[in-house]
Amino acid sequence: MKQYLGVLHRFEEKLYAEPGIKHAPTLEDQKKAINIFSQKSNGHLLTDLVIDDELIIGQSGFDSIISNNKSDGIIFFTVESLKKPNALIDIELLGRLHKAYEEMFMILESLSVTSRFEFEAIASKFIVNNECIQRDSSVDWKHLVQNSAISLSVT
Amino acid sequence: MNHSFQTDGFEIVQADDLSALTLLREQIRDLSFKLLDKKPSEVDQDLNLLHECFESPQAANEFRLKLTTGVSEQIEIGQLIYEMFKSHLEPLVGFDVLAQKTPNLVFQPPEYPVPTELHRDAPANSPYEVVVWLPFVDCFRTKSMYVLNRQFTQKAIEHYSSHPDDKDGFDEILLDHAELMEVPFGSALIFWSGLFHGSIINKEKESRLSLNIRYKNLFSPLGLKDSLRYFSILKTSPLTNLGLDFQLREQLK
Repeated sequence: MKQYLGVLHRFEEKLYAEPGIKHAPTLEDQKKAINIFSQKSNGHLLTDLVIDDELIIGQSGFDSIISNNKSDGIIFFTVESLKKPNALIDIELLGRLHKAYEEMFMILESLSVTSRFEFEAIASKFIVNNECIQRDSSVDWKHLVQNSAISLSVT
Repeated sequence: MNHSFQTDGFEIVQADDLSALTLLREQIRDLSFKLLDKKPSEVDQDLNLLHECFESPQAANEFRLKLTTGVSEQIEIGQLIYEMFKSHLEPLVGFDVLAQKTPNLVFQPPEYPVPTELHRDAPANSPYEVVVWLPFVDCFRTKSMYVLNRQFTQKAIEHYSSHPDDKDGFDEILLDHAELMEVPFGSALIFWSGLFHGSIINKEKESRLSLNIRYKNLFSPLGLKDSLRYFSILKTSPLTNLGLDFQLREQLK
């Protein structure tokens, strides 16, 4: 039977950003989901870890966990736990996790990494997502969109 | 009347591959009848009279949810529908394509009391998404859905902004300008995510079983809905593959 490390995410207390969903999943809900998931994957939860803002900022928590790794895989409730303070997913950290764990799962996003091929596909997707987030929030991009919209409405 | 995607924000288009769509319809009918433990006969009749299998709206909705799960698990629906309507979708979303992970199946039996309320997807979805609304039966009059074109969607938005309490005025725009779509089986309605749309109670004698799914370009701006949760990559161009491979190596150094 495989042993998994579960990672719960402590969402910020402000309004949950997902349209149509009133509340962020609680830690209890997340733990329940991770337990069910690990059982379905023919394993059990060795321990669980709550990611809060402090750990996300430092990321050192992950590295000490990686160096003391005793589990076969890691189950994140959400990719949010892999985000840096600038809201971008930490690709380097993802790479280190992939080296340390045979299996990696993100329940909310229905993602699984069990091979090099899957890792590259998912890391690529995260890279594009990061690029879009950076671009969408930049002042230059906002100006470009405004100017394009004006020129389109004139022609 | 013909509509253009650029001008109206929607268009009714025929499938490039009707035989693949016919096969998909049969698969959906077979899945439905397996869930209902019924013996199938003629596919068009089976789906048009699907309401006869249910005694309550709740039972119909439970069936719809099970069918959605079955379709998502057993059929590569995002890929299939994209290929069926490729000549219409590719000019809109390009060669690097994201597809909605789980399509929405809608079952609208006659007199079903819960039609789809008037809404638009964007915002909160990205305004760079296209919705494919694909019926598995002929849809007409109240059996179908309605759309407000770009011009009247904008008029409705402006009316609401300037008169937020004037529901009658808003409804008047809707009544005067919403168009019920006539979409025969073999065609799909493709529409921009920013258009107001919805449905009314189905007053026809037949059921409507339809599916809707969204596509967008991989690099187009994100909406509030988390792209990682709701979309998966359907395809990427050779150039994008090289760029992504390069970035991946750079970032994992």
